[in-house]
Amino acid sequence: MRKLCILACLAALPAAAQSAVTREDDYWVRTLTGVEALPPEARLQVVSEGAVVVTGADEARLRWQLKARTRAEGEAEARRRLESVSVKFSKTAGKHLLAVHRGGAADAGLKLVVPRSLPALAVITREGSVNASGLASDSITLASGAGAIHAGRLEGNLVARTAGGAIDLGEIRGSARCSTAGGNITARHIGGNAVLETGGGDVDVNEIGGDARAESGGGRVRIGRAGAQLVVSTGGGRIEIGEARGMLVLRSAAGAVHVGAAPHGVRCETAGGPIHLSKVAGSLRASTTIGNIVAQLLANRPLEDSFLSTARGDITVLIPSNLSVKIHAANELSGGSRRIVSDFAEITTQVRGAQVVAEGVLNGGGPLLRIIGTGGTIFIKRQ
Amino acid sequence: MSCERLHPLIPLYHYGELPPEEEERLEQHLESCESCRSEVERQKRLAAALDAREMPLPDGLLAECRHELMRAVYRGEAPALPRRAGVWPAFREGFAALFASLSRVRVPAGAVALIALGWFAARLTMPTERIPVEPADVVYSTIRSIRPAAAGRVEIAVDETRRRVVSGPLEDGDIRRLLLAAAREQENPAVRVESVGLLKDQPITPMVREVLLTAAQNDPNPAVRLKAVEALKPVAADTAVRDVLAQVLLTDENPGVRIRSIDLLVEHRDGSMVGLLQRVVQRDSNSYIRLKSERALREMNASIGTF
Repeated sequence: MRKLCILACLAALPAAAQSAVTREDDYWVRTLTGVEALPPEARLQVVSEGAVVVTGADEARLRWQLKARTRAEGEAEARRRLESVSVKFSKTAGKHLLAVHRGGAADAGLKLVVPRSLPALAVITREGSVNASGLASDSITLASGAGAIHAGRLEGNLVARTAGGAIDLGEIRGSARCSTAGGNITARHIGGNAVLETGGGDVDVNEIGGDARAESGGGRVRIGRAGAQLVVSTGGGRIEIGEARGMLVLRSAAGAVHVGAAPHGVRCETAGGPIHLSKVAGSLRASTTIGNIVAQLLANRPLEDSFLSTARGDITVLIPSNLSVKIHAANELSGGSRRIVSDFAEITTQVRGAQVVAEGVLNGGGPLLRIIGTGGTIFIKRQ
Repeated sequence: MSCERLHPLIPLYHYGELPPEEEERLEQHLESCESCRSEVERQKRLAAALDAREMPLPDGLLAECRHELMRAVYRGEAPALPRRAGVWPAFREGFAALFASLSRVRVPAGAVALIALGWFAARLTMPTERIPVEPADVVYSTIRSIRPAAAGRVEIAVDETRRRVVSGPLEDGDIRRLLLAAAREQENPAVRVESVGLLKDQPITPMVREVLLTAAQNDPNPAVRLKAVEALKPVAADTAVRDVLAQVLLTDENPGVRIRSIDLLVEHRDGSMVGLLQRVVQRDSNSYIRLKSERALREMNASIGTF
């Protein structure tokens, strides 16, 4: 009977434990810890007010540790402030909620270990960074009102939002939807589709498996490899695309554009800056207000009707010797026919009013490639 | 064409700033109009008088004028020259007061004065040493005018632009001077983005600082402003820099630029920032900026709100 009473008392003890207030450098610190059981089908939401680190593990429970800090004149004042810190775990409508209230603490860092395969996990913090890794949830949401977001290896789909701060992703197997009001977005690999938006900052991704859209209010955008269609726009900054296995749509309000390979077509506009397109095929449309254009067409890939234009600069087109294409090039405000230079005898050049025009049919003709320059020189080269 | 319409174009004609067609029309008119010919002569005398009274002007004035013009064109607003203490603003104010009563001739006179100042500034700010260059064969030419000359000859005016490639290490003074010019003068925003990006990693001389401050505050392109603010990090404790960062924080429409500004400002917080931060807490639409300001105010033991 005595044993039963003791067991009953132990069971009644709260799962959470708390430490005394201690001193660390200039801060008074209070640490709270807890363990909660979580069924495998649980959907977990964490709402906090400071930095959060969440890690997946092969266990069916939630372990948490909260470290709250404050500066105070003395221990009594520190204790008064830190006692207002609280962590509550509850279950409502099939959703489990862990809520942290910072109270009078200057900051409150939360560390979580959660079951790796929770179907859904959302971590939302008012301020501070969010760091997540080792998770296989289908749906992962990481959000901060002010702070960076780091995600290491995640199996599922990710939504990452911050009102200010960098977003740094490692290996994301699923899709990723990321937005920051200001800060860089970097990622090593995103397996699925991706939407990457920053109000101001660079976007730098090594590889995206699916369709992708990357937007920056002002900053450089670099995508190493895009597995499908890719749309990029920036308010100003260089755009660099290594390889795109789908249609490419690129817009920059100011900056150079460089594409390594785009065999499925390119739409490219920049309000200022050179455009360099290597190994391109399909439908090709590139225009710049100021800057040179270089386009190297792919051999053995069909070209569709295409258009290259610069309002100030040179245009160089490198055409494989076996490509069937019809050429129409016009250069306005030029001083003489040398402003269109062609390697092909089939292309004839003549002056028509203010324009120098070069036309010709290569290898029996095919889609129309229009090249329009204003000033500068148009080079049509054989490769 | 009437004399009334052509008179305002004469200063531009004198400095070779008219498009070829307009220039041709004006020249045809001059052949038959004594009044306009005498106006051209008057313009020549004025220019000669100004030539004889060269005055020292601040470095970069031409760049500043061009930059302000570009800003006004991009943003559709009136050019606003930055407020600076010193002799030059006093001179400008005095100049404005002197001509305030001559409102009818203010526009044409102002145009003449601006062109003349721009021309002098270009002359005075041209580098004195020769920059090492690699000559390139690319020459762009435009035929500006053709007219018959005496003895059956013809006179063809050709404007030529020759491209040069200048290369050297970033530390090289000439390269840095070109980067500064590119950051301020180029109408091509891509060139400004690249040049400010390169200046970011260079030691901040007073001239570099001035260029970065102007770009951070006034450049129409957000990427240029963003890079300029980032580049100011090593001198973020400087009062003039903090003034500009505060202005950027209050007025820039791009949240990314404001976020960079608040990050730099709170790194070196002092009591003079309290009012600014309180305004930001109340006004800024971005929670990162508000929270960062709140935190800085708390750490300075200042109230979050104003009473």
